[in-house]
Amino acid sequence: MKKLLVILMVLALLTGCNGGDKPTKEKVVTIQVPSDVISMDTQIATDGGSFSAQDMCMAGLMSLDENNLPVCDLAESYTVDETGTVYTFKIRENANWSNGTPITAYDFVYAWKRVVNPDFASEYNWFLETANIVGASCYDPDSGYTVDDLGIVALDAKTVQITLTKPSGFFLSMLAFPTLFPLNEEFVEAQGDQYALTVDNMIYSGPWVMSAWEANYSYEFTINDKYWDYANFKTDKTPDKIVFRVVNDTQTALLEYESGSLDTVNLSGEQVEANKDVDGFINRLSGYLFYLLININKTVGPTDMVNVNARKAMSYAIDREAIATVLNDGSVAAEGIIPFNLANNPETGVDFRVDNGPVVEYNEAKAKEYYDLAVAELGHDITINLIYSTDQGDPEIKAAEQIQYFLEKVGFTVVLNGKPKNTRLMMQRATLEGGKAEFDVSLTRWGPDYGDPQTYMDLFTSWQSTGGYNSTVYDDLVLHAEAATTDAITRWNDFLAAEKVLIVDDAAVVPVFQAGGAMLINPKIKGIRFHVAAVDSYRYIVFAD
Amino acid sequence: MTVYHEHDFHEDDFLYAHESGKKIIDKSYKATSYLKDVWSNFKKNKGAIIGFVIIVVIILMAAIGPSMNEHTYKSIIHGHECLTPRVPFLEKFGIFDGSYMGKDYYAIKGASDYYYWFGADTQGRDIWTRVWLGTRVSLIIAFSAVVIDICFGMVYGLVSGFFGGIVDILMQRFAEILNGVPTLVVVTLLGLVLPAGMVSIIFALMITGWIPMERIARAQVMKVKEQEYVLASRTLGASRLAIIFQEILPNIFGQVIITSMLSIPSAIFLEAYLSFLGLGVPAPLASLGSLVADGYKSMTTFPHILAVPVIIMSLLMLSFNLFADGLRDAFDPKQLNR
Amino acid sequence: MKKYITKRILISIATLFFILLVLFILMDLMPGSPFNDEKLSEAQIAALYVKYGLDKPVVIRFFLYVKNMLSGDLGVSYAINKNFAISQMVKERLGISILVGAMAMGFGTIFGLILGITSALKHNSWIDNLSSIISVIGVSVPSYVCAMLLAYFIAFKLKLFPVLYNKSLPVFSLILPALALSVSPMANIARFTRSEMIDVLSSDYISLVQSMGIKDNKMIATHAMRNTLIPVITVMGPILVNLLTGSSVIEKIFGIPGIGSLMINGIQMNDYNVTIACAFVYSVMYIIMMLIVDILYGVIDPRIRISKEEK
Repeated sequence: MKKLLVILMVLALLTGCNGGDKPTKEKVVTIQVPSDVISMDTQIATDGGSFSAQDMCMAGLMSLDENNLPVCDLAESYTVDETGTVYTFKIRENANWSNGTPITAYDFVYAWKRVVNPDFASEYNWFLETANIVGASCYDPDSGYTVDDLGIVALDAKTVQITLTKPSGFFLSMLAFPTLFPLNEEFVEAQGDQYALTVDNMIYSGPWVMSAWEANYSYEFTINDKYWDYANFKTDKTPDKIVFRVVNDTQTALLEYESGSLDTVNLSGEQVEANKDVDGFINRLSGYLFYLLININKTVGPTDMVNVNARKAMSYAIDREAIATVLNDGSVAAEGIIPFNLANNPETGVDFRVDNGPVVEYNEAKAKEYYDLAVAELGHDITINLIYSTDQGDPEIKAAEQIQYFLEKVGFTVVLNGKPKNTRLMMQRATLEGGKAEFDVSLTRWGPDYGDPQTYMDLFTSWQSTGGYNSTVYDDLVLHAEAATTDAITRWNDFLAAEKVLIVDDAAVVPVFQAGGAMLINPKIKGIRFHVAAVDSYRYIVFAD
Repeated sequence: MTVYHEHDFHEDDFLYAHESGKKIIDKSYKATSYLKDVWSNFKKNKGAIIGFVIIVVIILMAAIGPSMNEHTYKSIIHGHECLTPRVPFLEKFGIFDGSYMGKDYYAIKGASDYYYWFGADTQGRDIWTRVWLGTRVSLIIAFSAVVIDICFGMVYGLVSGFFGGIVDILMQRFAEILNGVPTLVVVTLLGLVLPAGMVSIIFALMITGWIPMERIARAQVMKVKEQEYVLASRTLGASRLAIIFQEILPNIFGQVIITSMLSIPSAIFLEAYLSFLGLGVPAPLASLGSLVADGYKSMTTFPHILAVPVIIMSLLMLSFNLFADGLRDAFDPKQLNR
Repeated sequence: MKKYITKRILISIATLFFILLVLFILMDLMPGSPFNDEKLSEAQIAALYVKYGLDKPVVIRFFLYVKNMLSGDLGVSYAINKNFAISQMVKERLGISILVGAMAMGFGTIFGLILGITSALKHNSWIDNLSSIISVIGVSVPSYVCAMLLAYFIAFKLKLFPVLYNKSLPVFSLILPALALSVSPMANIARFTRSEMIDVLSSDYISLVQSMGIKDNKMIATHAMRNTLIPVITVMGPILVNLLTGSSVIEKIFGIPGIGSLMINGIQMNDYNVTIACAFVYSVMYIIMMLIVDILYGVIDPRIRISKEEK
């Protein structure tokens, strides 16, 4: 044993010296990420971290600029016909894959047909349907469509035409999402089931190439000299390498940031207090809106949530500002089910949240009034079984405890039932199966897939609602808004009205807070683009002057 | 080894007792019971007594501590987040005066009328109340674990080790299979299947917790059963059961005590690990483990939130260990004079 | 002895088979599913189940799994690193975990034995008290608190070691995690060695040797150590396995891509294949450990060997 120790010590010293002396002139930016990339296949990934990594090294027809607006990336130009449903994109002549083969219209056709193919069973195949592309529901065998019906055609090698079911204000923005990026058929098919599993099994269309990927440790990117805009993209301010380092623990991550080996670090609520005045502190608001999903059509156990006054009592009882203060990680109190900075009025450009004003209110007296009313109607006190995720970090747990406190203050009894997210989602899903789910309220969150209220509004229609909310008024408003003939401003107004029905009239869901993201970014770097609705983009990172 | 060379006696080697001029009175010792013996031995061990006293005090505080002030374990006062400890009287000496980074934090947060003896946590809850409640929860979990360990593991190990042969093989195989499934997997899966709560955690700890004890018991039996005195009582016709409980049990008692005292920290730690992974006692209930896991997140910013449960946890462990050592020595007096 | 070892190995393999079956059944009971995105419809989930062969009954999946496993194929990950071969994932991470574990066990055993033997020999002296205090603190402070203290003071303040695991300096950057992990084994081994040693020292044969006037330390080594080591070895197996399980939190703190954190991830994300593989790897290690302990038993204590050979 002693010998072993000696050997270990010597090894340690040797490796220590070797590594320590190695001088590196490379300009490296190191980004802290809490978890590893789940998949580099743009059509298999479902999580923000993977999409951000793909955004580094893959490109689509469009990308988003600093103001969240779509600009041409691989597309050189595009035209829309007078119906607003047929888009024709001209792909740049100099757009090539990192192995030198040209990026063509066929690459888009192949990729899009791959994702909706029922045999491929992508977990993101619904995305094209959301983008209103003709025949996109073909992943469902009962839809009557086949993959060949998908509304995408290659007119020639560099021209691709896409047909939508109806005009869409957010279609161009959706093109910046990795699921709609091209894939080279020849290369992907040659790799078979090994495609995108290692850096050697990928070719890249974006400004960077993935140069290393060590599972659960780090993944790295170096510049792609085949990128169409390489000449403009590469400056002396561009880093030689961007490293994403997986550090799950926020304390270690902060120590590491302070010692200079990380350039960004996510802060927990506890760390904000001591760091909010530090140079480089930013507070980016994320698009995740946490809300209480109410199991309205529950058929097992107590079914008190059917009572609208009980639900209203809950909504009035919660002091959302206080919860945001306790979380202290940049989260803000929710004012409705639509988050801040998600979408703007098509005419005035005003944020949805500003347009509709706060549709929830904290008022303890009113909460008690409604609670008493509900108790009188039900004939007994109300006990709520609240489920929430225990493996998704502190804010969710703290929020659950705070909600319990506020609800108990007005008379409810709240049983907290923490589960891992996967189990919670499973329970939530059971609300669809004849209301057999054994919970009353679920603290859940929704992250928008695109910058439009529809991403939230669709959730609560009677045909999709996981909580069992069923209101013809609400359904009609959403249907009207999404009809092909509805113009943009009517659509907008429909959504404004629908939110009020959902929350003020029926209290079918109780919005709680919009998740924040307090973090420190080394003042020496800039150019990270955070988007409320789309994936965060790190590809434009440069060193500051 | 020259000592043994001299075998010859000389005349002046011995003196007659009466010639020494003293009267020799035979002192008769009262026969003392075994337990009395143990107690008198135990009393001599200062560390054990201190440990015992601390355990009693902590148990007492776990019982009454949570109701000693107006706060409950889940009552929240907004604005009082992360207040540092403040104790009346002591604050005059500049300690526990509720200051943070040199400023009077209570005045800043508008809480000058409050005294949080152990401070407040990140949600504005009283740490004093929560820590004693957490102690209570942890003690219940730990004691349950130890009782089950002793009862089940010891009997299992004794039987398996003593009978040997096919019984031993079957019993060991069963234990091995059970133990081959990592505790964390079992506990996590049970945590997911069973409703979250203390009973589930105790049940999960119970499933594999008895195995280390079983191993110790078995190993000891295998060591002891080859010894002459067991053979002797066997030859004299003692029944197997009698041999297990009368001859072997007292001999492995020291080991059993030590192992069960080691089960207390391991039970509390397993609970703490579960808390760390978000699978501990359901919030807002607390255990020492979950308080440490929570406080850990503020370790670099508000260390008092971590320090309080860690100190109590360590104190508890320390006392249990001292107490166990004391008991061990008391049960096994031949150790005492060494 | 050879026959005995062969028999033990065969039994171990059978045990592993049972463990695998138990794991499969547990997985089947586990609520949740790896495909649980809110946006997926029932039909889509059913399609995913078909794609990954999860629609088949648990028994058939079990035998398919065993068949594949024998050819070194542990299936693919559904949720953690989608479609990655798990044999590869496990292989990459197991090495790191074993390295940390071995280093921690090395530190723990060496310091534990030193502490335990010293305090037994100097029973009731200040050395004994000091080492008791050290071992009591060792079992009293959670390893992740030790880890954080080490990370903060030694790595961050003194800058002697890196905080995060560094792939290009594996051993060097693993010293702190290993030290943090070794605290509890050290304390356990020290306590156990001490109590065993005291037992042995008070036994008749040592008294005899002592009464013969030997004050030599060699006596202790030759006579007392063997009998002390038997029970100590029995606890080392479980300690080592606990250490590997416990390392999941340490892995999280120091950013070590090891197997502990992989398993936790697998459990939380319902990645059945990953969880089964990791749990099975733990089981294999554990069974091997028990085998070694049993064989060492025989080597150290001939009486056990003889009684076993008789069977």
